[in-house]
Amino acid sequence: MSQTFKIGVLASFLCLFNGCGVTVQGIDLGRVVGAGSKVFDIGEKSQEQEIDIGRDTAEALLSRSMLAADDQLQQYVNRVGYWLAQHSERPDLPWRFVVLNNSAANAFAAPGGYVFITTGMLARVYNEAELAGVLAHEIAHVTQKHHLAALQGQSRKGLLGDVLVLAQQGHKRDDERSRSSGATTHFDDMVLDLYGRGLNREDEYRADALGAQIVARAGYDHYGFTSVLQALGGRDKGEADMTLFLKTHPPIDDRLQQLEAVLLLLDERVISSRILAGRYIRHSRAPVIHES
Amino acid sequence: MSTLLVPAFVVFFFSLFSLSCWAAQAAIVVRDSPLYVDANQRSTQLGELSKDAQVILLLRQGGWYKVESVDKQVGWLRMLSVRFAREAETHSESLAKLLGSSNLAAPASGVASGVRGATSQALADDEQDGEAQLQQVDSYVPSLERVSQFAAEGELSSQSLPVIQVED
Repeated sequence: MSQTFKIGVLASFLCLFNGCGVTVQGIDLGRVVGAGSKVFDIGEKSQEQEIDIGRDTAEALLSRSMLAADDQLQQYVNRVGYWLAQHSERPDLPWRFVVLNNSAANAFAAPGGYVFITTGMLARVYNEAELAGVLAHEIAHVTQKHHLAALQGQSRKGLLGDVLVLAQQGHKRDDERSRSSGATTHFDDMVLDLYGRGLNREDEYRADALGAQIVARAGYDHYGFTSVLQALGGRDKGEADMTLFLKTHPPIDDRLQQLEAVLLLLDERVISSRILAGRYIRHSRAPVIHES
Repeated sequence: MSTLLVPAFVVFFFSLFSLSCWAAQAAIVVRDSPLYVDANQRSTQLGELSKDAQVILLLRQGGWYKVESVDKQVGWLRMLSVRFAREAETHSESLAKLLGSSNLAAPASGVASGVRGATSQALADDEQDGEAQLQQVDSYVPSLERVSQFAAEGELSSQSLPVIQVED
């Protein structure tokens, strides 16, 4: 029996007992487990720990995804992303912007400064302001530590211990295991589970609002992201390349409604805004597609 | 032809393609909304479009769309007053008529511009070397000087804006 499976079985049993008032030989197992879970709640992570967790998260995600094999495109997206990050609350993070070779329209972030966008999303973007809008939304998730909090919450809920320890254990096993075995670590499973489910609605609404402000501070048209959301909202829900995006994000109409107040306030305050359609097209029009 | 003219032509061509695809977008008005002469709410009102009215989006300027209504009125609507019509909705009689009256081509399967060929790539289910890919990602990091130069080339300028507090 694998170690992961054993931990899973143990966690499942403990979860069943937690708070259920089950008593064995005079001991309330629910209370014991409840006390134990607090031990794992070690609170705030330092920036260094956050970056470590982020790198392990990014590695877990990249072990399931292929980079777009176009250096020019990767460098371009990094330049846009870095310019935006300099206008965020945390410009000092080691930001990384990654284009994944995947036809599904999606973008997501990992703790510590990792932002991913798929070629499928880039294919639905018209200009640099729209790209900036998508990246800024993900930057906001990072500055607000949304994924870090979700991963910590997940590890506590499953009584699996501290997320940093899990990440480090996962990394250690990565070094030891045979890559061809297809085995996954518990940390990998937790990461893939989170990115398959998505964050909660409030985190998404908050990232929408903060992202619009980052874009505006960086001098881009702050309606770029709205334009992307509207276009995605016009796609039929059944389309295969939209499934994960729609599954992991709140309904687009709700997001646009939540965002409106911030956009109207920005209208009053923004002095200049750039769209940069030509530069976007020049950099993204003909990537070299990697043949796997 | 000089080497500079070729990329300039390519950009021009793709810009036209991008504009034409976007310009024929059909949309639905999501609430009763005033239609203005200009993209400015202090401009003259042309009338009001009712909720569920169908329009064609002709142009976007900031938070405004220039639209054409079913009765051929052309004016400006707030961007968030509309939602894009889904594929099935564009087959409705009034929208089809509107699209037909446009001299612009209908969007090709919703794909705008950008990364050609990406949609033919299958999802990478196979296990990749995450660590090696991560190292490659590190190699794309630009210097801050290069980022500043990039911003200047795009005439992007930082704006000092007070933080708008977002409720939790």
